[in-house]
Amino acid sequence: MWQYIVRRLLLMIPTFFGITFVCFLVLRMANVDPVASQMEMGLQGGQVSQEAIEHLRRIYHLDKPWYEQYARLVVRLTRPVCIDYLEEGQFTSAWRPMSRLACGNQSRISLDLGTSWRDGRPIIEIIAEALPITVLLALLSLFIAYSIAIPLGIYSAVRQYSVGDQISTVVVFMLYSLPKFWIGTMLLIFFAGGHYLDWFPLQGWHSFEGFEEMSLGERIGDVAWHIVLPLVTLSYNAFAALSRYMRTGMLEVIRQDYIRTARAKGLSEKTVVFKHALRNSLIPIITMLGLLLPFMVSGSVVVEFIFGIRGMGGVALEAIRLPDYPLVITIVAFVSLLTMLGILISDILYGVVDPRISYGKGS
Amino acid sequence: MSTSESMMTEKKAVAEPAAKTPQGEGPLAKPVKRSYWRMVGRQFWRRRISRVGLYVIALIFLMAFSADFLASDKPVLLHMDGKTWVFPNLTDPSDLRRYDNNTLIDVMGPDDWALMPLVSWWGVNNHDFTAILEAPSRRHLLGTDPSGRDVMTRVIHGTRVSLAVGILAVSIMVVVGVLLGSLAGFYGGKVDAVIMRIVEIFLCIPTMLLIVTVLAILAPSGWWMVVAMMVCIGLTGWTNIARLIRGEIFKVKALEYVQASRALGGSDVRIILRHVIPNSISPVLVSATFGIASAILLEGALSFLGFGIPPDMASWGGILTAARGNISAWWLAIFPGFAIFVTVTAYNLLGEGLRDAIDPRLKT
Repeated sequence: MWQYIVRRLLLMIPTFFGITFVCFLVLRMANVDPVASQMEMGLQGGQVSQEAIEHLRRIYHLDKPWYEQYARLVVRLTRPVCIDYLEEGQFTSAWRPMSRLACGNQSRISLDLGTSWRDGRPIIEIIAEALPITVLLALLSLFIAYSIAIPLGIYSAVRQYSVGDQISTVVVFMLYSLPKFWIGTMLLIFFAGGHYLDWFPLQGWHSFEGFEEMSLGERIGDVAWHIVLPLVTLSYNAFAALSRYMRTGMLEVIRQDYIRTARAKGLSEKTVVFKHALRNSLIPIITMLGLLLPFMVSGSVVVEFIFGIRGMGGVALEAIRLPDYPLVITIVAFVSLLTMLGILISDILYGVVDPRISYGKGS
Repeated sequence: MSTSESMMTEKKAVAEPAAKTPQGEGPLAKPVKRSYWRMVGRQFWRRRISRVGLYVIALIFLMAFSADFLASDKPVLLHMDGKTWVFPNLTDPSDLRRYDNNTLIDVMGPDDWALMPLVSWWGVNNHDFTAILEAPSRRHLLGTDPSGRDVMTRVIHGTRVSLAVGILAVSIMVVVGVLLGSLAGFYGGKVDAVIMRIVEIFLCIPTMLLIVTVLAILAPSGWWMVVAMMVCIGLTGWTNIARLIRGEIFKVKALEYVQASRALGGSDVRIILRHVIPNSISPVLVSATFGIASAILLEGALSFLGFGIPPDMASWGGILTAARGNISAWWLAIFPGFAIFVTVTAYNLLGEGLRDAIDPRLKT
């Protein structure tokens, strides 16, 4: 088992370089001069001497060969640094490479990741604000998806070919083909905004006014009210996929000999289904957790766009429009690395829950 | 689903004559292969739901090909001032350029006649400034968008982009996937390790964000955008097919006829192309059909986000985007979204039908 984990971790190294290289290629393809684009944004005023441009190019390392630029990208993604804080929420652009573990009272250890072109904010700060929102949405919608899919899958499998099973099969099949951006927009039109049913807010993941003054309970209520529609949009797809897998898994298990034995022993149907069959049929859909992660991220791009939520997807889209390609690429790389870890964890989970899987040398 | 049990017995009945063919017609490869596909076809046709999927797809294709006859700002046939125009909707003659269907009606004399487009009199970029963001009416059957363009026309013409992107993106996926998958499966070892790393890279990268970034950087115009989109979707979506065919080849590689071919001096390329791929292609076909459905979804999402098909071209996702900015205009959301839904469902039905016909064991 440990051998397997170590080997997988080692295999992650080439994958990491591959991911960062793809990101680097895209960044090179953009071939956008941050100096030029900053001038367009009026930061430099448009009247800059040639020396100043050269100087800025040196700062952004645009005068270096491609392999050095790639190496810098990798370093940027992995190097821990200290961020100095002047006061609450205010950071300095003066970064020190972390030579000692201690950074001092006023600063925090964090990953480098570079700075945003737009305002020079550390990208890690932007991600630290956006990631919890996306993760919250993803986890909640996965929770919803699982808690509907498991009972429905069991019902469908136990009552195979019943009217309920047929209806749920058709409904699940249709849900599977429904575009998220369509459902999201329709929910927005019919349940938010006041033209038809004004039940939910239009945009954002909490109220813009008065959120700071709310007590904790009120805040939770406010956020819950805001994320109902995004959660519905985000979860039905995963729910459809999961319930199909659950039904198949349950059907497979329920035909096995040990289930027949359990029935022959005179156990009640309830015990057979929920104690004997359920455990083994859960295995495939538990392991799907890791594979669902990238889908949740892709889905969150659309959902965050529709509902104006500033999660990873929303921030990334905004950065593409600016354009602020280093921020986008850093987000892509960051999400890829998280997904890589997620897949590893789900593979390990597979081994933990299913003793039939062995991670010996042969596998 | 209640037909499944009876289907199983039917399958046995079909399988028997097919099993006899090799003995009946000798060990030639061709007749056996043909009868296999015929069996798959018969099995597919037997399920009503798969047939429905196929019919719907045929209808959608018909709509895409005849879009200019269903909806255009020029008539199909026109006789005016003693002159006859054939298909001015396709040729867009310069004499008629300043008219659209509605202004033509006004200038036509009593002896003139015209055969109008069947469904909608409006062109894709034909702005009706008297009806901006108008709800469905007799004049505009499915309403208009914020710049006064007819939604019906744009839904009909949007079919083209969706089908083109769906099918061509999947062609790229299949070519790349089969190529890399068969290399990995056939050679194993280091080649396999490298290709599986690449597969893992694309599994981890959030493809949606990557494609949006690339499209935003390239920003091609017109049909080049469609091409760029197809290439992007194709180059990021091949991993499933590669893994499928790799697994199949691992299975097929050890079989006697491949070893026989090798013993006869067949080269690697010949063995892969003649023996290995034809025998492992059926699951790829199923995967490709589902792939078309998801490529159409992805195209819709990209256009919806505003990074896909440019606004002067008609696309379903593009119409939907307008709905997000005008949330009282339900007609901007319902119709294009429904079109995507129907198309995607039809392809998914086709995929299900094919899968069950090719391999009943895979049935879920």
